[in-house]
Amino acid sequence: MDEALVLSRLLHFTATFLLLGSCAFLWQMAPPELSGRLEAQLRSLLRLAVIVTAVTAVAWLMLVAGSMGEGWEDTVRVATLREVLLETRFGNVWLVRLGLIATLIATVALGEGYRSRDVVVASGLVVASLGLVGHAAMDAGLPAVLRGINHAVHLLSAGLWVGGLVPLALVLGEGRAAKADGVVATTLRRFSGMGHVAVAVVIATGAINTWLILGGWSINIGSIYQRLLVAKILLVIAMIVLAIINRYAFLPRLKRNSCAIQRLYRSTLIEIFLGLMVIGLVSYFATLEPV
Amino acid sequence: MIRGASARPLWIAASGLLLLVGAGGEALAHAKLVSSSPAANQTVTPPPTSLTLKFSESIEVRFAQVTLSDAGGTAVKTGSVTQDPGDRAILIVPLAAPLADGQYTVSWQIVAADGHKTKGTYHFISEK
Repeated sequence: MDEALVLSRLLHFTATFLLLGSCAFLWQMAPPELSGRLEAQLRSLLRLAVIVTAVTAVAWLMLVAGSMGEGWEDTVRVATLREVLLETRFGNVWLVRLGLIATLIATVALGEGYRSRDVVVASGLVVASLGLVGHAAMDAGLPAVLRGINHAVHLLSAGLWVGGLVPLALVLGEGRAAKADGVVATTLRRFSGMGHVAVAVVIATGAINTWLILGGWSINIGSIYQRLLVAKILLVIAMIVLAIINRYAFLPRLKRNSCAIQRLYRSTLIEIFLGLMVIGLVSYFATLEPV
Repeated sequence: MIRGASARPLWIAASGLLLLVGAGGEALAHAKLVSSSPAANQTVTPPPTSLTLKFSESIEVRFAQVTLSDAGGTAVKTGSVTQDPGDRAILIVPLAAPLADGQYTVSWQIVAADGHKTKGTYHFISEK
């Protein structure tokens, strides 16, 4: 059951980050002539992401009901699911999240031409509300609320960054064939502007979160949670190094050097892969005891 | 959406959050039993009329289980588990009838507000 929960978390984070980051990219970063084409290319992937978001949210709830209750039989027992939803903190948050996910479904399902902005708002709320469950939001009172806000901001900025890499890779993949034009360069500049802020916020909120959960900076290497947290931080550092190389080594050479776009494309794919590994790690270790 | 110029409010918000949160505390472990009444290994006179268990985190009372058994391992009838209205980390279990003299075992299993389950046992001795 623990494995199923880790898998649900992994798919849920991935799908919601993809929705948030991609649609923010379509809405704010891609110029109109590019965003129409990108939207068409991404449409089925984003629809799939909405389905995955909904299915994994329900699975996550069922698995928590099973772990709060007596195991697998409680994952499908209506009475237990009701108790979890109505009488636990996790369930109360989840009730709100299921409502937000219904809004997300409506946003995407109603009509052909859904608007990226609406998806950004709906998926942003779906991502941010994850900040209200888990270690960061344990307990009551003001400190827990602040921890929850910090966690929500961490998830939002991570989603904007990692999710945005997918349409970025699409743009770069297409740009490889043609000569990099002004539209691509503008898009890259805008993404990198957002990226700087998102990365800075990821680091700041991640540091605060670590400090709040572990009660300091000292790492106990005997704890699996803390070892995997260190691994996660190292992977994020690798992603940041790649992003810096992309921005300051390859991007300025884009106009003169046709190899630059090829390298940008490859290093963006590596960044996406590292991002998935980070999500995979946290999907697992955040279910463990922090100490 | 978030570009160069709008970075400043975010930084102010982040540093404000850091200040508001205040000094770091202890690591957030999963819920542990902090204290109880009767306390573990305590001899209580007169016999208790209820059990009180204080945990390190808020508890989901709906999924809390506390059982009391006597020295022979026979379950002792108790009232249902309730939560202290002022503190979600405290569970109270009323006892249905006065306890006879002897050693008792309290077994607890709880789900903390973060959804994690923990359990444990402790003993106490009741004397008239």
